[in-house]
Parts: sequence; C-alpha cells; structure tokens
Amino acid sequence: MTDPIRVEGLTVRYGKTLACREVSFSVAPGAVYALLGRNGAGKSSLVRCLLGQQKASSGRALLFEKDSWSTRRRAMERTGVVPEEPDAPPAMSARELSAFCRRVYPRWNADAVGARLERFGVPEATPFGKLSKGQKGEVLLALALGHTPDVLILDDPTLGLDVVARRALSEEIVGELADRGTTVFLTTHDLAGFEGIATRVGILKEGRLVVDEDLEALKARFRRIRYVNRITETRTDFGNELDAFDALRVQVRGWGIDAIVTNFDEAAFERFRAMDGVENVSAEALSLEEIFVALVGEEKGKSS
Amino acid sequence: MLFVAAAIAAAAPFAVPWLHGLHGVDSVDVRRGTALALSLVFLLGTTAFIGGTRLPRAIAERRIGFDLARPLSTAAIWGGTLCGTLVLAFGSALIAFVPAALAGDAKAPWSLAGEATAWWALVDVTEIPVPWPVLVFAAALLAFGLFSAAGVAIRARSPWIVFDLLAIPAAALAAMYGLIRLGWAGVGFEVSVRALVLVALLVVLALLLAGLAAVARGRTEIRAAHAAQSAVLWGTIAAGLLGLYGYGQWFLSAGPTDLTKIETVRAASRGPWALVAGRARGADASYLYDTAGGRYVRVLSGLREPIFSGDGSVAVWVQWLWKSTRLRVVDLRESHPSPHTVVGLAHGAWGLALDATGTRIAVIEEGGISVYALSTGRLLASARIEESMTRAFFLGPDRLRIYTTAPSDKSRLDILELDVSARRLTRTGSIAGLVGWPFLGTDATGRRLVCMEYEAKRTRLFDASTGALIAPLSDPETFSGGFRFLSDGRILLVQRRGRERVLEIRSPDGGRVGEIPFPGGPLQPGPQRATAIGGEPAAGQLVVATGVAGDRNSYLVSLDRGEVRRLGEHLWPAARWLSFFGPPNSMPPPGEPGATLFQADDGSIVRLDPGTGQRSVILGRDLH
Repeated sequence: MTDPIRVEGLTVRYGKTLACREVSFSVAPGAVYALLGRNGAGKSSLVRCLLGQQKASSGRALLFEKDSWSTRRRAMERTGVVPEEPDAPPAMSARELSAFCRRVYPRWNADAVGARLERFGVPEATPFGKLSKGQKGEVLLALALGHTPDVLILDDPTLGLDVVARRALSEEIVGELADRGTTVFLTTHDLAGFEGIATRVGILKEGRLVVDEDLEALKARFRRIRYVNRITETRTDFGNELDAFDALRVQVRGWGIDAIVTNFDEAAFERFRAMDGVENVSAEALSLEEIFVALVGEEKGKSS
Repeated sequence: MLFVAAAIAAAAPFAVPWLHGLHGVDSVDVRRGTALALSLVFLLGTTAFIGGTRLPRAIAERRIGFDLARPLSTAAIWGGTLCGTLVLAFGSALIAFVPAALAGDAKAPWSLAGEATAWWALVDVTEIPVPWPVLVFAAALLAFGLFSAAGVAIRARSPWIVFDLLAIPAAALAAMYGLIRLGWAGVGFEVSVRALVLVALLVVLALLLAGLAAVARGRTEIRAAHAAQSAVLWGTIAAGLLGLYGYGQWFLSAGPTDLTKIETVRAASRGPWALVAGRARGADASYLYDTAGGRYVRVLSGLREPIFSGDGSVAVWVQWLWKSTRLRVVDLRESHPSPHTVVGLAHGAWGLALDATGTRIAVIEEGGISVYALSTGRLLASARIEESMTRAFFLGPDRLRIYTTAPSDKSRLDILELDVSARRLTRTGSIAGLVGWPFLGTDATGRRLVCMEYEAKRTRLFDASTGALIAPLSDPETFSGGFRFLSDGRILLVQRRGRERVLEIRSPDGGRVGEIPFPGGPLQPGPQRATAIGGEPAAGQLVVATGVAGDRNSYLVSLDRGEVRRLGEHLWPAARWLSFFGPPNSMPPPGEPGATLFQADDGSIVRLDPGTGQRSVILGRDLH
C-alpha cells in the first residue's frame, strides 16, 4: 500500500524569504503524523502545498501519489480538511453547509455529520458566522469527516480553542482513527493534546525538517541527564564526560549539570555513570513538548 | 439584506414625481426613469462591489481555502461566485424596477428601458443583432471583471501593479491606434464600430479570464493571483490587439488586384499613372496605379483625392493621421515609389494645387492659402483669404492664380495672384453677378476662364486674369452643362437644341466654329444620363461618353470631320473634365496614355486603342 501523503524536496519561497527548504517526508497509511514547529516555521505553507492551495517554488507535494497542485479537485474527494482559521460562508448554518457538501462530494453522510454536531453540542440552524470559534472548529471537523475521508489534514485545529473543545476534537479524531484507520496529518502547537495520538513526528525549524521519525523512537533517544561532576586528581577529561552522547543542551546549575542528549542508550549511560568523579547521575524521559523545546527553543551548545 | 435594500429603494420612484421642479412632467415617465436608473445602480453597484471584494478578499485572506478544500474545480469556484453575484445583482435590480413597472402598463417600461439604454444607439448604428438585455448583461460582466481585477491588484501590493498601470494606457493607445488604422485602411464606419464593440467585448473577456486565472493559478496566494491575472489579462488583450492589427493589416495589404469593385479611375494628364479607387476586401481602397508597369502606391486615409503634377511625375494628397492632417507626396519617377510626409497641416486642407513639375504645392486652408516647397516642406509664401470658396492653380513656379468668392458679396468672384518669391498678393480683377457657385475651367496658358453657372444655366468666357467678359457661350435655352478646353485652345461645349444635344466647338475667343450631334441620340425621359468629355487620343479626336450606371458607352468624335464612332459598350473615360474646377494641364494631351484609359462597367480598367479598336484589360477581370 502506497503512502497517501508524500512530500519531495518541497521549497516554498516568498520573495527572498524561504518558508520551507527542501522538505521531504511521507506518511504511511493509517499513521498520524504531527508536524511541529514554531510560528513562522513553514507549517501552514507546507499544508497549503499539500492541499493544492499553493504552488511550491520547487519540489512537490503528493496526495494519493498524485501532485496535489494539479489534481487538487480529485484529491479533495478523499481528503478532509480542518483549516487553521475556521472559516465558511458566515450566513450558512451547519445544516446548510452539510447540504452544500452533499452536492459536491461523491459520497456524503449527512446523518453522521448531524450526529457529530449533536455530540459537539453545536446548533445546526445557527449561521456559521454567529458560532463561537470552538463551535466553528467543530463544524469544520464534522464537515471534514462527512465524506469519510481516507486522509484527514488538520492545520493547527486547536488554535484558540478552550480545553473542552480541544479534548472533544482530539477524541473525535481518535474515534475516527479507531473506526476507519484514517491517515491523519496535522500541525499543532498543542503537543500534549496530540502526543497520545501521533505515531510519527516531524519538526520544522526555520523551514527545514530537522526531525522526521516515529514518536516512540524519538522519545526513546531523547533523555535529560542530570549529574554532579566532582573533579579528581585521576581525571584528565574534565568537561568531556558527555562525549559519548550527542548533547543538545548542557546547562550548569548550582546543584550540578543538566544535559539533554539525543542518542541515549543504556550501555553508554552505564559507562557514563561509572566515570570517575561523576556522581548523583539520573536519566529522565522527555515529553514531546520538552523534546520540541529542546530542538527548536534554543541553539545547541553549552550555557550557564 | 440586498434585496431588502432594493425593495425599500423601489419606493423612491413613486416619491420623485412630487419633488419640487418636476411639476408638469409626466409622472409616469419620471417614475419609470427613476426606477430604471435605480435598477441600473443596483445591478452595476452590486456586481462592482461583490466583484471587487468577494474573490480578492477570499484569496488575500485565504478564505477561499474553504472552497478549495472541497472537490470543486477553480472554474466552478470562480463561476459560482460570478453566477451568484449576477443572481443577486439582477435580482436586486428587478426588485428595484418592478413596482414602478407594474404601476404603469406592463409593456411600456421595457421599451423605455430599451430606449434609455445608451447602447441602443450603438446597436442601431452597427446593426449588430444584439438585444439590449445582452448588452446590459455584458456591462454587468464588465463591472464584475473590472472590479475583481482591481481588487486583486490593490490587495496584492505586488510589483505587477506597476506593469498594470503602464499597460492600461499602453493598451488603450494601442487599441485606439488599431481602430484608427482601420480607418486609414478605408474600412467603413460600421466596420470600425463593430471592431470597437469587439475590442470592448475582448476587454470583458480578458477581465473574466484574468479573474479565473487569479483563482486557478493564485488560489491562496494573492501575489501569485495578481501575477496570473496580469499575465492573462494583458496576454489576452495583447492577442486581441494583435488580431485587430492583423485585421487592419489584412485590409492594408490589399493591392489593386484585390479591388472587386472599381468606382473611380482618374488618369494623370501625362504618364502612365492613374488614381484607382474602389472596394477591396470589403473596404474602401485607393491606389496610384502605374497602368504600364503595374506598380502602385496605396493612398491611405486620403481626406482629399490625390492630384498629379502637370508632368505626371508627382502626386500629392492630404492624409488624416491621428489628430493631425499631413501632406503626403510621392515621386512617381522612382522605381519603388514610396509616399512621405512633406508637412503637417494644422487645419486640414480645402484644396490643393500642384505646379506643372511637382516642385511646389499650394494648400488652401481655412482662412488662407500657403505655398510649400515639396522637396523641403518649407513654407514659401502664405496669404490670408477670408472666404469659403477658393480655387487656385500655378501659372508658373512663382505665380499662383487664385479665384475666391468675395466675403462681402457672394455673387462676386475675385481674381488674385500670389507672387510666391515676393510674397505679395495682388487683386487682378473680378467677375460680378454670379449666381450660385460656379464651375471654373482655364486653358493651358491660364489666360482664359470658362465660368459655368448651373443655377443661372449659362456659360461664359472671361479673361482669366482681369475677369473681363470675352464671350457668352451658352444661355438657359442652350445650356446643357458640359465644357472643356481642347488641347489646341478651342472650347468644346455640350449644348441643348430642343430635345437634342450637340457638341459645340468654339474658337479660343468664343466664336462659333461648328457643332456635332451628341453621340447616343436625343435625351430620353427617365434617369438622368451622365455625360463625360474625355481625353484626346489624337489631335482632333475626342472621347465622349454618355449613359446611366451599368449602361454607359464611349464614342470617338472626330472634331474636324464631325464623325462619331462608338468605341465600346460599358466604357467610361478615365480622363474627363467634370471636376468642380479644371485647372490647366489637368487633361492628357493627345497621345498620352491617360487619354486611352477607360473604366469598364464590370469594374475593370481597360486600355482601348481608338485606331485599331484593340482592347486590353489593365486591371480587373477580362470579360471580353
């Protein structure tokens, strides 16, 4: 089975500014791919290219093995979209929007849409423009799932939503995944909310894709190591005790040293702990948010 | 909301007749007129407003993403917006109009709408079978496309707007030039107006295609949308303008052999050249045509018929170009004659006179006369003449004879001479008691003047310089309306003898020499038969023609022996003395090619040797 989403050497340029630089990745069927990045990292540009709403400066984005710019209309028959800013004709109610979608999609389950809206507690007869932001997002999610898409693309769907709305949205996605195994591609700042859903993670930093791997593998190789370094007469390698690791960030605190390493493994850690003068050693797993902050929040290096 | 506003506005026409200042005006007309104006405001205002905001804003703010996230083609998104806009626009226009329409009789408002549509006049003129609702629809499309394009351009703030701003006047000028060029090419007013309408439709089409391109190629990127919009808009307009230029070029490239209907043939007095004019490729076309060698020069946009110099070496005409008129001259002695501009004329030209060798030209303009050197365009002399009817000819390179109606007395013809080198205008004489505008003709020396007055039905011979009467030539009893000076100085008159006509020959001083029955028999009731006194193929021989269109015959008259011989049917001489003013040297002397050139009724030009009867087609179909 081919990957329903593939991005090859995608570059997006706005004048002299590069939003995306040679980004390549793919999303396997049934996977939940979370693309992370700070504001302005290029996530939305990438999503628009993926949806065929923007032409890449170079490279290409493929949906279902076809260039999404040139085959957008066909691709959208099998794709559900929840945009960053929930937007729809303001005068149309959710029911009218569903009726409109029924005419444009080859298959449309109006009952499922109605059921979801009822579950969300969104009034179906209220004009879209008069709904709250959370309700708008829920309407668009319901519409995005109305044609039982093979791929669901969400561009920061929880932006500006309260905790309840965020939870409802993520639960709905989980439910969709459980029901149909839909492939999901999402960008988000709500790392905690989607950590339990995502199977694979990509991290964009200044337009470059610096991470593209399975979430479990990512979390397995990232550790925070804390220790105290007591200088002994026998040691000649002071300051180089972390050489066995790829230390992303090393901070000297009053109590000792705090380091985040990106290639943690138990054997190397045991050798580190056995080093002369290294004491009170501990290794902690990092959350996705901590990994993200470590990767894009600060420059690599030592600080104090 | 829009429909509610239209419904409220629909009440306004009922209040307008009560306004101060409209008492006495038919309230039904006022009501309908107001309702029509309101409906047009709603129609064009709605299309302009939605066109300028809906899609440009959707692209700029990426709200179009909702539509693009559906399996809808960009054409459907754009077309749906357009259709929705038109439904709203026409719906609101109808709501604003209908109450006033229902208040009167049901039919009248629609006819009023038709009459009030300014386009109607255009439709009437061009005879384009387009009903006015279609034109209103086109106006709505134009408003949508125009404001949509402007909305995208303004919101994009891209460098393309500089290109747009430069392209707008450039395209307007190019379109104007293309249309004017059609005028130069001789296409009629109707074709020009049709071309203008096509250009307008092209602009509508280009704007609509550009709007579609902005959505299709820009999608959520307003700058890309603007780039695509500009490329398609100006590309389409450029292609259309190229078509317009090609269309003009097709007319302009027509040669004399493309003439399907030759309406005018006028031979130079000497040499093989002749003016040939008619219809080519559906447009008016005029050429200077070398009847011996086949060379030709297209006479473009000639405001006045070209004139030849006495020796046939130079031809001059006045060309209308853009907003000015120019004097165009061509040296016919060159192997590839090409016209060039000698001088620009601020006020056009009412008349032209070339000297015998084509070195100087006199231009009769509003309020005066000017003499230019043809080689340099230098103004040699000018004189102020405040009258409306002036004719002139050169007596020599430095002497210009001028006949002009006196400003204070329209029945008096003043005779003036302009000394070009001294720049001095002298009144040498006058002729008083004229009735109407006379036809004038001078002999080859410029010493005698024949003055023919149609209204008074008389012809008289005068001293060309002083205006002294030499001899009366015809009176109302004998007047028939034709004369010419023969190459030997004698005068030939077409005179009436009861129901018969005769060719009367007078001596140079006006004395009767003899007369010959006019060829073709007595005058017949029915359509007026035209008469043409043609050239002299040989000394003592004269071509005379008579007949009605489609049935004209030329005869060879032996002036000395009084014999008349029919030369051929359906022939009309190319050299003929029928102009309003016949200056010296305007008729071919005996033996010159122009004297044996004929225009045939089938549209061809033929040369006929009177001696042998041999006939050869110079231009056009040979049906014999």
